[in-house]
Amino acid sequence: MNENKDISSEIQEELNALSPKLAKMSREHGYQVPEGYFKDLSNKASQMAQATKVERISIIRRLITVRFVAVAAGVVIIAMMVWMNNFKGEQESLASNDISVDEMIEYLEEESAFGMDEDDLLDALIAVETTLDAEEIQEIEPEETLDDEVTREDIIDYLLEDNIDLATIIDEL
Amino acid sequence: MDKQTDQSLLKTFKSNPHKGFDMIVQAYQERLYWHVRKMVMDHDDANDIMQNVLIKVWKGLANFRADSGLFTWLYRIATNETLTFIKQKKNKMSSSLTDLEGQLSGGTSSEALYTGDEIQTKLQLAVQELPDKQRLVFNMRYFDEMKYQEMSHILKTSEGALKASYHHAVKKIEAFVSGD
Repeated sequence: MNENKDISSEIQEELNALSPKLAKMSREHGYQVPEGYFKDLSNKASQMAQATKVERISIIRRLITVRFVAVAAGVVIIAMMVWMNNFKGEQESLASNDISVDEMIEYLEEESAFGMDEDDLLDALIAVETTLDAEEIQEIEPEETLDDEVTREDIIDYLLEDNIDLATIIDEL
Repeated sequence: MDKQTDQSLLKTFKSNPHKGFDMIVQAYQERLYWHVRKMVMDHDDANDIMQNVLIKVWKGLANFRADSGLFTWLYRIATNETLTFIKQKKNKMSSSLTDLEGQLSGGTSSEALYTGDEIQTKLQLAVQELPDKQRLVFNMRYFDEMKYQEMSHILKTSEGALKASYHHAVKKIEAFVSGD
């Protein structure tokens, strides 16, 4: 009885500190049950128990079950470790460029026949591009990149080299 | 219910399972029912859950090892059954605040099994807005007056996490009740 009083006042003190507003409210929930409900429930429980046979599991059977579960869990853990190892292997081979960017693009183009539209393809290609590692990016020669210092002469040279006619060059300029 | 009573109930069950089970049901059915009812609100739902709980208790009692204590074990079964029921019901339909208000005023039942006043209704609506597990923690502490240690055994959660959860729940309810 004393213990109940203690916990009740402990909860009240806690509420006073947390929320004085809630602390002032009644802790009654307001729900009701139909009259005689609990008597009816225990009768139903008793009838259900009479109708349901329960088997007591012996300690030996319980131990066997525990051992079986332990073995099954062991098998699952080993299988997961093997799978993780293989998965790691696959990831390493991808990282070591066994699959080239071209192969990836080819694969993605083939996949477009199965519902990938151009936007998806573009997103996928961007993803492929961004997976190029830092080393590859460093390998790109500075001259090969387009920057702001492309002069008119460079453009004329490029267009002439590709046998583009004079009218087009004038248009481009 | 103290430890000694639980031991005596289990002793009776061992010598006479049907009598022991009846005694256990009578000793705990009300506490378990209210625990379930406060979670699901509706009496019919609570009744369905209770039937399942009592079947599980009957089937499990024969192999119950008193490690965790009878009360903790019963509460755990009721809690798990309730959470499973709520999850299944949520998959079927979503409840809005208006549905909950209707439920409290007896809109979904032939009898109005709720007699709370305006403030209690507001509190119940606020409680129902909490996430399931936080609601469970709030109900167990606020209405059932449980110790964190007891709750920790039932919910298999640390006392620190339960305290934090309860404090969050109180703050949310305060905000809800003060809101309008």
